[in-house]
Amino acid sequence: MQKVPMELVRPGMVLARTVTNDAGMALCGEGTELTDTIIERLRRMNVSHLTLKGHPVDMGDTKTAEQKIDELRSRFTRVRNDPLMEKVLAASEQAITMLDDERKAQEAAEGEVS
Amino acid sequence: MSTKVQHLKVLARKIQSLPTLPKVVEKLMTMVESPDVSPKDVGKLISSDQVLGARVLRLVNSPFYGFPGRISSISHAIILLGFNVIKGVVLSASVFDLMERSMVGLWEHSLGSAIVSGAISRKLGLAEPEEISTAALLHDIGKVLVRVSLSADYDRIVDVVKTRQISFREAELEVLEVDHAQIGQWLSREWSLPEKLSIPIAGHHDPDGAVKFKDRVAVVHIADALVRACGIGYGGDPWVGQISRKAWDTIGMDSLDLSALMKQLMEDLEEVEMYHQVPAGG
Repeated sequence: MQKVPMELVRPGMVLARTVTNDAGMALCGEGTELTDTIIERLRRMNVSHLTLKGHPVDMGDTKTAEQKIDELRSRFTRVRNDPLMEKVLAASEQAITMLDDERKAQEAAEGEVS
Repeated sequence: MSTKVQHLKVLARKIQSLPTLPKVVEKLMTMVESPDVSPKDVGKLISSDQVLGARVLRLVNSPFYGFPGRISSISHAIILLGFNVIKGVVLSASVFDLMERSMVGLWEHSLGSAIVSGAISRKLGLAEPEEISTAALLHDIGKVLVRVSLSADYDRIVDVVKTRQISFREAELEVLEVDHAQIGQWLSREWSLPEKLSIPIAGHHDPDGAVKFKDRVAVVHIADALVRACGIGYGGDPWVGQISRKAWDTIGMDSLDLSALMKQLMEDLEEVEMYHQVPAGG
């Protein structure tokens, strides 16, 4: 899943989340494959970003799991040595690793399909 | 304690004007106190302010309340979520209007805390998870007040956080001698928020001191730390705060698989970003 600004959205990309209007009502459903017409319509409704399936655009902003864990540890610097906080930190590190593994597996699967 | 009360009074005088609430919100606050008010009346009142009505619908249709994209009218929202939630949502929709523009980090921290509180409450089977989410959405409202009404002090606090690397709350206590939780408590009283919301706002840094609604205070206190752990939003400083062991045990957090919970929270919190996807014009 990736959040992409409208300027970089292209036909064929698939919505990972339903697009909603100002009042939170659905404009375009999750799973829709984008066409020029849909993109143009959303643009006219001032939608600025879309959440897309997979990772279709390389925006040079993808952090590795190691980077994420480093940042995580730095957020915990003021509460080290407390057993409860160490537990929360360890669980968060594990969560980052699990999500990273899932993402990699998903990308591998998508690569095989296309 | 009494010096703190005195100090709050001094502050209250200094804060000559509260952030002005739209007339509609003021009316609403008294309206929902009345025992025979109907969801239809309240819906009509909120909808009479179009901008506010749209913002409220946007919030109740966000994933935080579990009915994404499915609530089409405000009276429908009131029936599903109850008056307390609507009151909190209307307040945040108007007060946080400013945050969304100039305090994006705090807004994201607040939305994130609402998501995390809702998720924890549901997992633990606590009553009224929507209300707990709403308390979390408002828990840092005191910071907004400092920013809006005591902007010189706010700048000093930000400066102290940066230069001395201490938490926002520690810096507040140095500069103002009270913290945002106490200011939030005072503000809750001025706005006659129900205790279910005001007690978690007041107690989210001191959950062990809570005498009422201990569960709700504990959830908001823990959510504040976990949303920081996930690195979502900016609550005034970059650090995860100490979680009270007692609060943790009060709601039985050890019964949950903690890494599975953190994974779910990190996924759920993508919704915070998703929320900003909504058209900029609104």
